[in-house]
Parts: sequence; structure tokens; C-alpha cells
Amino acid sequence: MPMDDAARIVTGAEYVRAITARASDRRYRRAFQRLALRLTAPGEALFDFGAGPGIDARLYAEQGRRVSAYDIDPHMSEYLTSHCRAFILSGTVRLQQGNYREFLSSAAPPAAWRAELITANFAPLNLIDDLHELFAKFAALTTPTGAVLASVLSPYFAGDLRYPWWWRNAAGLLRHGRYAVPGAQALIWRRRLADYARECAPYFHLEKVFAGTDSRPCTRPVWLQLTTCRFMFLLFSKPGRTHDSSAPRDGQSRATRAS
Amino acid sequence: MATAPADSGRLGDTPGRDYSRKLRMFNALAEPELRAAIDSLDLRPGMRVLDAGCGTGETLGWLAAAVAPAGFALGIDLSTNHLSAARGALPRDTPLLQADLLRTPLAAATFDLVWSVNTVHHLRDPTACARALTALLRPGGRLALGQSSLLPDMFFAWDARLERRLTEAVHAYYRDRYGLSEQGLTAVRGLLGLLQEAGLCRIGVRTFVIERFAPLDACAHAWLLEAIFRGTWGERLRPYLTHADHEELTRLCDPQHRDFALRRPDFHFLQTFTLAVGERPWPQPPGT
Repeated sequence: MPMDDAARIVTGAEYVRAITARASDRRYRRAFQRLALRLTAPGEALFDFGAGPGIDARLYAEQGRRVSAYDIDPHMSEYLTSHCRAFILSGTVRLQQGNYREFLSSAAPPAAWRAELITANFAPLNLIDDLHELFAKFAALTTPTGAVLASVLSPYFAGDLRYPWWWRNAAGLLRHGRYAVPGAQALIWRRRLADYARECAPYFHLEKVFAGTDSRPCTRPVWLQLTTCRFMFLLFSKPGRTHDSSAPRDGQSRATRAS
Repeated sequence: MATAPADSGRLGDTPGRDYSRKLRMFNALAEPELRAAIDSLDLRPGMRVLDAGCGTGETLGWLAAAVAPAGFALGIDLSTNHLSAARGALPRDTPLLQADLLRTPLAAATFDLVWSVNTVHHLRDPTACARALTALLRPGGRLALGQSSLLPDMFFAWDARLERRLTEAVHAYYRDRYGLSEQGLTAVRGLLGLLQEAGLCRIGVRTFVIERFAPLDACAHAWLLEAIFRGTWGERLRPYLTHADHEELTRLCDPQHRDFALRRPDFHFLQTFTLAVGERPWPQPPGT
């Protein structure tokens, strides 16, 4: 979790307060949620990786999605269990628990729970060293048409230029495509788009990049648009697949009644 | 005149439909009778309840209170407007879900009670809806279908003739607007048949009477004036009534007029609310 005061956060309730305190964070979160809902239709399965306290998972469930949720932190899972209780008990949210290695080696989900979309909101991917093996797992969790939508820290965010660590690592970003700085939970990896594109292959391809404020894809030059947002949203699709993120998939014809 | 779009419910229901105001007024009017109906179900703390077609959520709140703290009541509705009204009216942590009742994401055999009031007749195929709701019940769980006005409401106790003409005019309006015949409109009376077709057993039914008379309380006044006089009748019935009848109706419904019905000392309103309940059978033990 990419926040300065992460070290002192222990409970789900405190974490919820922290991540909803800043107006800009709430905007990023809403923009991401809207995009995730556009990319899925009611009744479809979604996997929330790094679900945290379950704010997003519950919102997706409220919109008729079936949600699998995983978080590495048992305190978060505990909060999610209570926050999403009725949805868990009625079978629309299911929580996967365990440490990260256990998650990676867990059995494939039943067909009905293979996800049309994996969401990773609020930069959980920035805590992952080996993205390649995670994308392999994502491939196993998704349907043949499934995609991954990830909110990640933009390495180009101009607001970070005031920090000495940004300048110390700028050369590394250019040369290696990534660098890590110590964070509260683990190293925080900042990566260029090319690095994500390399790490997700051959399971996915980086199809679209969204600045973290709205659901229209960035146009070129992408990096320039990404200087104004702390987060960028990346849409990874299965090879040969593309998505139309401009039109809601839950339009009236899909969402209405009996035939 | 327009009929319902092909892929919607038979009353044209879509996620954009908004009966919020009318639903809120009905729940305010009928709160004592709805609570009595809930009490008749003998709910216990710990039960899992689904309010299928929860509308603006007042009833969901009463159901939730009946099963708290260990149980829960989940509300489901298709309409975005109803759900945002419900979110505003209920405690923040009340679980609400937007979905089509025929295609919910809910797991089968989950609920102890599915409560569904004035809802299944909004769907093109109420039987399919009752079956889908039944599938959500655990064995021994109950489906409670509530329906208003299986008997004609009494608005004008002193004038049965005008009331009959009004009923006919409303039927004619619905026939033209939604392509519904009188049989279709009154199909809501077949609650028991619906429960039987859904495969439920131990079926019972009970009717509660919503009875209000002069002087009316604010809830009854608001319901009758806003939802009925203005919302259900009003100008849209003009083509379906004789000139004289429409004039008389207009006077009776006009708060500015000295004949305004709700000011009459002999005003007496009757409406029924019927709750039919059936139980999902336990599977037969093998070899029987």
C-alpha cells in the first residue's frame, strides 16, 4: 500500500479511514470502479486481487457481479469478511485466504468462478517483485476472454519529483524499466509501461493505458498524460483480445428482464 | 399507444424505472399492516432473508431488524433509482444488490425466507420468477409473496357506481399502455397457483386489511392524494371516462374544491394486502 503513513496502520477500519481520507484517492478509486463495472456485465465473475478491506468487492457485488477476493493481509480479510458478510453468506462474494505463495499455488477455481476481469486497485501490483509469475496465475484465474485491470503507481507522476528518491532512481527507471524503494509492507516497485508489457507476456498483452482519473484511454504521448496522475490504470487482455471500454456492458438490453 | 419494449418486464421495468416516491408513500401508509405481516412469519435472529424487489427499502429495514444481529436481510432490486433511495433510507451497512430477479448472482439454497411484495407481477413471467426465488431457498425455507388489492380498493364508500367506472377506466388505460388484458391485470390474484407451480408445500395465505377513515393521518392523506388521485388517476383517465364522470372525479380529487373526498367526514378507505407463504420441500430420502 503506497502511503507514507502505512507503517502505523494495523486494522481494516483504520486502513479504510486512511484510504478514503484524501479526496484525490476517492476520485482515483471511483474512476477505477467505474471502469471495472464497464468492463463486466451483471452476473459475471470478477477477481479482486489485493482486495484490502473489501470496499471495491462489496461495490461490485452490489452491482450484481460475483466477486472472488484475495488479500495477503489477514487483518484486511477479517475486515472484508465482516464488511461483505451478507454477500459472502449469499454466495456472491468468496474470500480466498492464505499467504502469497499459497495464493500462487492454489487450485484453479471452478469454471463458474473463472473471472471475466481481475481487478487490482490501489497499486497492489507495485508490491510484487516477480510480476511474470503473478500474470501466469492471473491467466489461470480468468476465462479465455478474461482481462486484468490494474491501478498502478505512475513512475512519471510530476508530484513525485520533489522526493530525493525519485531523482536517485530516475536513471534506473530509464535503464532497467523499473526500480524499487522501501515501503511499509514491502519494496515498492515502480515500473515503466514497457516493463509491464514485458512481464505480462505471453499470458496477456498490455492493451490500454488510462490516466487514473477517467475511463478514456490515454492518447500519445502516454507518459505526458501520466505526469498529472499518481495512478495509471492498465488493461491487460488475453492475446488477440481487445475491449471496448467506452460503452457500458451492463446497458439496458443486458440488464433487463425475462425473454 | 406505446407498449412495453420487447425485452423488459410486462410493466416496462428497466434499471431506469422509478417508483420511489410511490413506494415510499405506500410503505408509510401500510407500515402497521406490513409489520403485522412480517410478524406473522415468526422470523428469528440469525435467519437469512432476501427482499426480492426491495424498492425504497423500508420493509427491508423491518425484516433486517427481525433477524438481527446474527442474521441479515439482503435487498435486491432492478431499479437504480429505488436502490439509491434505499441506500439513503437504511443504515449504511445494509446489503443491497442491483440485479434481475431471474438472473441473480446469488447462490442457490441460501435463504431462510424470500420476501417479495408487489414484485413478481412486474415480470413478464411471474412463474419463472417464483421458481427462481424458490431456488434461492434452503429446504424448509419459505417464499412469502405479498400482493396489494386482490379485492378492489374502496375509495368512495358513498358511490359504488363511480368507483366501478374508475376501475374499468384504469383497466382500459393499462390495456392500452401495456397491452394487458383484464385477465392479465388480475393475474396477480393467482398467488396460490404461483406458489404451487414453484413446487412449494405447506402453502398458506392471509390477508391484512389497510383501513383508514376520516380524519386521515398524514401518511394516508399523502398516499391517496399523491399516489392515487394524482399518480394513478388524474388526466390520463380522461379518455376512458364520460365527461360527467371525469368532472366529478376531478372535483373529488381536488384539494381546493369543497367536494374534495379526503375532507369528507364519511371518507372510508379499504385496501387489502395479501401474503401467501409456501415452504420449499425437503428432498425425499432415498428409497421412498
